[in-house]
Amino acid sequence: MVESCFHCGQKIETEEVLFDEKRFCCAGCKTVYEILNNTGLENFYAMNPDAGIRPDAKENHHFQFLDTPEIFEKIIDFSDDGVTLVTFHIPVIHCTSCVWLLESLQDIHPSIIYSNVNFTGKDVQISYKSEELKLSEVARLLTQLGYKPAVNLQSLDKKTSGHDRTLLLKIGVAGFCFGNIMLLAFPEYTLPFSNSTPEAWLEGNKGFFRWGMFLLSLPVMFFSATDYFKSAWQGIKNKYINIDLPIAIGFWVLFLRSVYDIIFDLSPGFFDSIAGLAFFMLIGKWFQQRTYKSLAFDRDYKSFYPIAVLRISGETEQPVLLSELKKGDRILIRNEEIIPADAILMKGEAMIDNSFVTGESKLIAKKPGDKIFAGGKQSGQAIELEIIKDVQQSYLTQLWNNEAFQKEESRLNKLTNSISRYFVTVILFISLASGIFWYFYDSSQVMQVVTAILIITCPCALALSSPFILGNVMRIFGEKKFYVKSTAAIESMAKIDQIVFDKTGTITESQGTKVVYEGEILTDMEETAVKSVLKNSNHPLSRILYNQFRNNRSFAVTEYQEVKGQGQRAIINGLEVKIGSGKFVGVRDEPSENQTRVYISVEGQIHGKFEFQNQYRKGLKEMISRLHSYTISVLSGDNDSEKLNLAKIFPRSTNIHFNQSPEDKLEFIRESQANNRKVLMFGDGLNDAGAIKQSDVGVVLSEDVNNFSPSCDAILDAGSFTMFPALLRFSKIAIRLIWVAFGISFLYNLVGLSFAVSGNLSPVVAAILMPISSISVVIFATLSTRIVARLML
Amino acid sequence: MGIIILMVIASVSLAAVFLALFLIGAKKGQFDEDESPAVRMLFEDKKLKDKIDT
Repeated sequence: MVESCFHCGQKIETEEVLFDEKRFCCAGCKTVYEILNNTGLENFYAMNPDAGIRPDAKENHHFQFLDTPEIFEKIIDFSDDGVTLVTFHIPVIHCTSCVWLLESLQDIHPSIIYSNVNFTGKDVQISYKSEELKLSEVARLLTQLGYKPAVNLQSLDKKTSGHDRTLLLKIGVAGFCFGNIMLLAFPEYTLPFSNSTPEAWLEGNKGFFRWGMFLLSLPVMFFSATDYFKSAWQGIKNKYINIDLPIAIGFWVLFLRSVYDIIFDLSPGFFDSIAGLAFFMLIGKWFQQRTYKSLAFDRDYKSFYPIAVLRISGETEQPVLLSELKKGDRILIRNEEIIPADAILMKGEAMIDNSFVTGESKLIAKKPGDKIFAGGKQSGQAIELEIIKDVQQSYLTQLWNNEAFQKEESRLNKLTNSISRYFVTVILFISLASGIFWYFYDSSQVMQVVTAILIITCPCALALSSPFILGNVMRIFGEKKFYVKSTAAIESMAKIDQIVFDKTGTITESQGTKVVYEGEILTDMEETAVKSVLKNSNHPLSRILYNQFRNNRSFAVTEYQEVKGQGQRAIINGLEVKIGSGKFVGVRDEPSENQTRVYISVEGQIHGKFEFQNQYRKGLKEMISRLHSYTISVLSGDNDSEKLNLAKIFPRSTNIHFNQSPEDKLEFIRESQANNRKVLMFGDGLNDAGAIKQSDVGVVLSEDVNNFSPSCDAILDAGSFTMFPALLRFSKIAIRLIWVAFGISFLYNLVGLSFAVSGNLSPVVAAILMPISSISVVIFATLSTRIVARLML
Repeated sequence: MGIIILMVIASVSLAAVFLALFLIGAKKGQFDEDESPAVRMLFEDKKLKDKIDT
């Protein structure tokens, strides 16, 4: 009896390695087992026995080249302050155990911080401490575990075309065979309809037609349909059942039975069904692939986030959308703003917070000439950078979806996964039971019944509904300038019952705000000094004030500090300048009437104050009235000067709170959630970042500004502000559409199954209906969302 | 009636030729991207345009 290796499941042929009372086929497998055991990861085997991959014994020096600086720079995504982020492509990833193992790397090696697997792309992104571990050692560790990374130097320069043309080839071959087999099948089809007795000529030449069909079915069985066989086989090897198993069984049952039938002259066989099945299903797959690709394309290249960065051209700065930034542009990044692309620091003191990328919020100082990676956040004065790499929206989206910022897992995904798992077992059981029944009842029908059952039932429609509908919704949202982080966020949106609005910058807008100055007239130098301080902040009030001053000069600023919700201070030419609320600046007696005010002081001497006339966004009142089904609250960091104005806009039941610090806002959200409410926080991402993170759905309003808060779930362009209620309603309807799609697919299966079991479904018809069911779900998903969108948005 | 056999063989062979052309075209990458060729044909041929202009 030949034993199987405990790790990889393959037969132990040449040498046998014994360890811990288990048998292994080679030292490699034994080593992996040892590693897993020592680090407490034996669960690997519990999930999928024999899921291990036999590691390659040779090639130990293969990865030295990764450590050379030029290649290192090219291949990594990010490297700073001892932390490096790299993405490796690992072609052998094939099952849940692989994902689990690769995401437990930090338990295997202490220098690895975290790792994230992209199953469909077969990539793993690893974050590790570069001072303790070399890149080649990371690659070697992966190889040791059996997951050798594929590093192709040519693929570093350009994105590999990665065009999977084989699907197209398979469709071509299947189509050719299908058509021609149908041609050959015709004579015997028409037999029941011919008036005369069976033609002698046909009887004599049956062989030509039948064996012709057999020959044409060979390319289908051994080329076109092989993906299903491979997938089903993988599933069996790893002891889990997947949807391709009944399909593969169906193919082989049909094929073998057909060959048997034509040898013993029982019937012309079912070769037409086989070819038709393969052809239509491959078309369904291709259609699916195309839709996924176009959704991804939209996300990465067409709908850029509405984030604007200040581009410096000569003396002026202009806000410019991310999509228009090019390599070589000079940009100004202010306090709390995120660097959108890899850049070199040109001017200013940079203190970069890389928590968006690495998860650690440590401030790293950079000097002019240093490279700063995309995703870092500046903390301090405004800095000037030159972009050295084009903005990669896909990279930003990846960071946005980082594990660290995940809120709640998609409930629908979990549902479809569990249903799919039971589905297949139930189907196999039903087909077995029906087969046995018909064998005793009328054995001529057995073939037809069993194969029809295996073919017609398909949980794929189920698995397709949710991603297609939500994916389409995300795309439609993007067209309306509402950028959602992921499909899970849409599900959360549909469940909320309370909306919290931030005031300044969210329901008020910067354009058209009237500012009145009261106090000592500022000298030119003082104005320039004030402007120089304001330049560093992206707070809405700072921006409004900044645009009030006309001159373009500015002084160098040192020791810049911005206290959220209170003010800013800096030293200019040796003088301390403070700009902010009365309390911050040290005003003794403020006028009793409350108004949005910003004071200016130089060296402790208060020079005057700016008074702001709040300008509310157009259409605000009407939009709020359309949100009557939600509980609404308003949190403002400002004083209650706007109380009367707000009362005119918001319904009486609205909870309005003033003088809220960022912590107060966070607390408010937490309390509401403790009362079992699902809260959506609508803010500007600046002093409500904590609240946005805490809420179930955090929406940031963006208006020509760089205020990307990584913990937000969606970004709404200020131009689409009034669409907000419609967008919320759309997400609710989208969830309902998903349930309808589920219903349709269940109905399909039920009806199809009843026809199949009763012997009324021929395999050809089943072959045509099965891919039609998947395609119809996709079409339903696409059309229904489009129609609803047109009606509502 | 035996002519049918010849006809079938002839048509299958013709279809096989088309299949071969399709496979060769697919392998050469003709079907990889179907969005830009539609737009590309609207671009003016630069060399020809220069010739016409001078």
